[in-house]
Amino acid sequence: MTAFVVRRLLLAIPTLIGITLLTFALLHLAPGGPALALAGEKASPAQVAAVTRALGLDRPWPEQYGKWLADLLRGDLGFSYIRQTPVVALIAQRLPQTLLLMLCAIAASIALAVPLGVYQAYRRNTFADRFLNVGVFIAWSMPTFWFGTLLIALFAVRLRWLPVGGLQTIDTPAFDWPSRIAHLLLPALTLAIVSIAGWSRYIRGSMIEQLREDYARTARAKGLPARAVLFRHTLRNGLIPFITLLGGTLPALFGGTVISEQIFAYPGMGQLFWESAVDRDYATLLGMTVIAGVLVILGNLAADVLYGFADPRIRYD
Amino acid sequence: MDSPIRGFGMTEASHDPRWRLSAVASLSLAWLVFVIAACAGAPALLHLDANLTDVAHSYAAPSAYHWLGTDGLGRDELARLLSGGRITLAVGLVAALVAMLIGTGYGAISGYYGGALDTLLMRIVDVFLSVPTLFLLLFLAAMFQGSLLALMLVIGVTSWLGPARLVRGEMLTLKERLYVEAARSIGAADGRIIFRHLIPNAAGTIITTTTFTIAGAMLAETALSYLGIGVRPPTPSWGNLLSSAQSDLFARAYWLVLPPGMAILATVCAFNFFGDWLREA
Amino acid sequence: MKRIALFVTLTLGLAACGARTAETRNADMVVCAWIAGPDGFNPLVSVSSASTMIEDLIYTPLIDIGADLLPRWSTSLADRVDVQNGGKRYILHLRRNARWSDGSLLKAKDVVFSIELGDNAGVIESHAADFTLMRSLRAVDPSTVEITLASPSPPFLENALGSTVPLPEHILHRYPPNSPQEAAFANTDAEFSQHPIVSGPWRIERNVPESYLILARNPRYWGPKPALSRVAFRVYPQQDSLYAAVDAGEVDVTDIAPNLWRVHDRLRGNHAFVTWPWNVTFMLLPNYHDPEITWIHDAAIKRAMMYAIDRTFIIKGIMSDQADLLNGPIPSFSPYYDRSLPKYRYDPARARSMLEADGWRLQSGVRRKGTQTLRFTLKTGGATDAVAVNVGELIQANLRAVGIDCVLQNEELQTFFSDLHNSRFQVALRGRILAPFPDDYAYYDTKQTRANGGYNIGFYSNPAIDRAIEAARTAANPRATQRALDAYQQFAARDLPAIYLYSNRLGAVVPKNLRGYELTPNAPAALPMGLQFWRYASAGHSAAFLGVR
Repeated sequence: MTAFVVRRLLLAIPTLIGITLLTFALLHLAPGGPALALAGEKASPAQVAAVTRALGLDRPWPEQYGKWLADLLRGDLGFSYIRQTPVVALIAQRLPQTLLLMLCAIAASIALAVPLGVYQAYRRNTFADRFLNVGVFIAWSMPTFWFGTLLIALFAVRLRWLPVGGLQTIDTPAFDWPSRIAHLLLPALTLAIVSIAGWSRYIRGSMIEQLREDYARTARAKGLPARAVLFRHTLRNGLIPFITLLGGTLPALFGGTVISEQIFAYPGMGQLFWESAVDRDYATLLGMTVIAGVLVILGNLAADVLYGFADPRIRYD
Repeated sequence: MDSPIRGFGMTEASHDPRWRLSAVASLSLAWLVFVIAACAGAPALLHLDANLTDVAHSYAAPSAYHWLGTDGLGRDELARLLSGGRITLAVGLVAALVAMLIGTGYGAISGYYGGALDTLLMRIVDVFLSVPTLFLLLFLAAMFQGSLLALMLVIGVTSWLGPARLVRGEMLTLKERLYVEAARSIGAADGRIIFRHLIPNAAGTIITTTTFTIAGAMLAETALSYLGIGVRPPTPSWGNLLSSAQSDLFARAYWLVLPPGMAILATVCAFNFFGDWLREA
Repeated sequence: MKRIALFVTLTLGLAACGARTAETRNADMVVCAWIAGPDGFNPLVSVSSASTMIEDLIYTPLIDIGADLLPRWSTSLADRVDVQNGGKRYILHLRRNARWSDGSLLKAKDVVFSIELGDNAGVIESHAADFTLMRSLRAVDPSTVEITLASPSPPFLENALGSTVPLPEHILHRYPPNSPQEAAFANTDAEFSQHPIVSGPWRIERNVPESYLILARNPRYWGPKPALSRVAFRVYPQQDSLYAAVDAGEVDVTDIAPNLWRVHDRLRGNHAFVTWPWNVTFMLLPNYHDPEITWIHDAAIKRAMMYAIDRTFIIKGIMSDQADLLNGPIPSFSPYYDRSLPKYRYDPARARSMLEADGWRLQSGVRRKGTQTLRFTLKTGGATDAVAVNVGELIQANLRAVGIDCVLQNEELQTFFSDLHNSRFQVALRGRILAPFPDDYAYYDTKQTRANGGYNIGFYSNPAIDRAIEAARTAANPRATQRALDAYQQFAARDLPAIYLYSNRLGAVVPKNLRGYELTPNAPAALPMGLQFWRYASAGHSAAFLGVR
């Protein structure tokens, strides 16, 4: 097991280099650049040229990449000139918020997808199953921004149960739990809606397989109540492959935060990414790519390790 | 209410549902055919002009003259919906085609040859999968934008990973079959084996994946248009229409908000249902 | 199952408590909101308009420009300015009791330092173009500054000095003005950018980047103390979410975009709506060096285009009346506006006959004359800007109706600015911010191309207009200034360096019982200004809203 983990971590390094190299190349191939955004619309060509030189953007891009990589190895993720803040500080501000949001989304997804999938498996091919199927597909097919806007229109404007957006109530300096949760509910739900659909389908399929297994039928035949068999025995087995699915949806969740955070004014990584892309803030974009890449790789690794623990038939070496 | 043993597979219906279209699947297919036909043919048939501005009648509610009302510049909303549908469907189909072409080729080669090549190719796929696709998509669309073709390519290029993996999986199973052995023994070239035998036999997976990819591509176009980097105005697309109609939600100009939203929902749903039915079949 | 249900109910209950306390707040605080937050508080480096607005609040301006676009001495650092020697020498008398928030006095050397930085073209947000006529600058004593100019310059007071923000020399002095690159990138001074030393009525109490910012009263401010103890600014990146926040009561003051203005009466709650002129003008700017549209030099065609475009619908239909017709380079609310300018009414028949008379014949829908075709590409920026998109589409329809083929090209904002900057366009839909004194020298003078440090990105060249602008810039007295500006406007309305469309108005929502706000045409972030005078009236006072139409 240790050897497996070590090997995966070692493989992560060329992976990260690959990702960042690709991002760097794309950034520098794209038209425009941070110099103009930084200098502002009224800048003269001389000013823009001065900015370009000062940022080191007139050097060939492989040389810039080398410099960036060298800085990275020293722990320096760069400086965002547009925001006048080091990239590390920016990410340190935003990352915890997004992680919290993603955690809530995952919790919401699991809380809704698991019962849904189990119920659909238990009652497969009945009217209830088909009806829920349709509902799940509709959720799967809905554009997320539309869903988010509808949630705001209903819960925030019409019913005034929840706030429209933000991190927490602005008057409270400390980490105020109740208002945090209130502000997380709608964005987490918007983020989760697609995973709920996908995961419940997957769990349904996986549970159907488990329910057909001999051990399930034997247990039932022995007289155990259906509920016990469902939840104490088959669910455990049915959820095991689901763990890898969890790891695999991390990138999708990260991506989903872009729109979700925009709509709900939630200052996280997604919003930072979008603004940096618009402003051509190369340093921040690259820094975020590295961090996102690291997190996704770690997440997948954790999922695979968990999978190994959960399923005794799997052996990593 | 039902037999206690029921959920556990003891009384599974034994008839083969393979080629019997379920109600939902047939509904989906019908809707898809209808939408594609309508978007392609209706504007010409009904003499609808998506660009005809008529400022005296802006924001008109649905009427006999304008079946879905008019927008802020007095243009017929039905015409814009259908034109937009053409664009969105085209983007979805072409992007999915690009994704499937790249993915199938990549997956077939990787799966067939196996070994070190397979490991390397799949490693590359893993690298790309570690990047949140939407990030890459936004990035590419924001930087390289302009034509519709560029958009289709961008969406296609960010969607081929899943199909590649699936096709590779199919290849791994299929290449163990006897007929492959037989073909190889009579000296058939690898390329011929892949393209004339294996891929047609993987057709089921490929077609299913294609429908899901189309659905995903259409949703991607919607998301990109919402952020302003998808289909650029004045070309209408469902994503465009929906995002510019958001403020009309407050105005209660429901005829500008509901049609594109419902159209996206229904069409993507139909693709998903159909693909799901194909997969079960 | 039961445990899950219990957990969910508990969470929702907590959330509900959170929500109810969510937006209750101190009655002494006003919550404003905008779409993009500030990116720093150093006026030399920050780019966003939110930053500019906050900087106006936390620093004492050298010369404060009021809502009438004229200097207001009661809130300026300079409480008196002597203009001598026929307009060539300015003596600024500074207040002696102005202080920085670290306790030190605001002195003349801070003003000199700040002006030198503003004059330094190497600094990012400099405005060196405004200081071209400055010949000398010195601090006579700690509260007097003397400036001499090469010739009299009407714009100097309001534009050059009015946009100078005195900054603490004792903190920023390590960036000498003759070192452009160090001054431009104060990255080791990022600390100052995030935690500035302030001198104005407000100080920054709390800043959560891209989320919210709270300003509190600055106890060290020399001037009238604000009535409110705090003002908050929240960021909502999506226009519709911002609007929903107003509807839900989370936000008190925000600007309302034109496309949402038409539905503002559907907002629930205790709101008042105010609208006022904004000194931003929109026009179609041609690129006179583009070889494919050489016909654009013909003023008769441009005049036909002015008749062909239904600018009234743009204003009433697309912008919900949140704009005024623009008949020349200077908008109608400006004190320098010439009321006798010719008005171009929407008259497509007249446009067609003008083009016919000029020899342009219709061939398959597009007018041609010899080898030339009346066709051009119109560039607009930003697909999410509903107004820009709709205006472009309407113009296309209007022009096509008279036989001019207009092809629309919408670009992402950064690419659009980059193209404008490098003159890569045929015709662009562009908005322009006017300075308090309308000086178009940098925009239309023949010599002021980008390469020479100006903004004449369209390469417009007309000696008559050059003379008119120069006369307005160097006029010796107000009457001469007005005559020169009138001449300039008359020329421009006939020769049409640009197809003038409209000048924006701003619209905002404010609480019904809020008083004291000022509706200034050069509001940097489109919000009502004068925050140090804001106060809540008790219910029962009659409403007296400035500028409500």
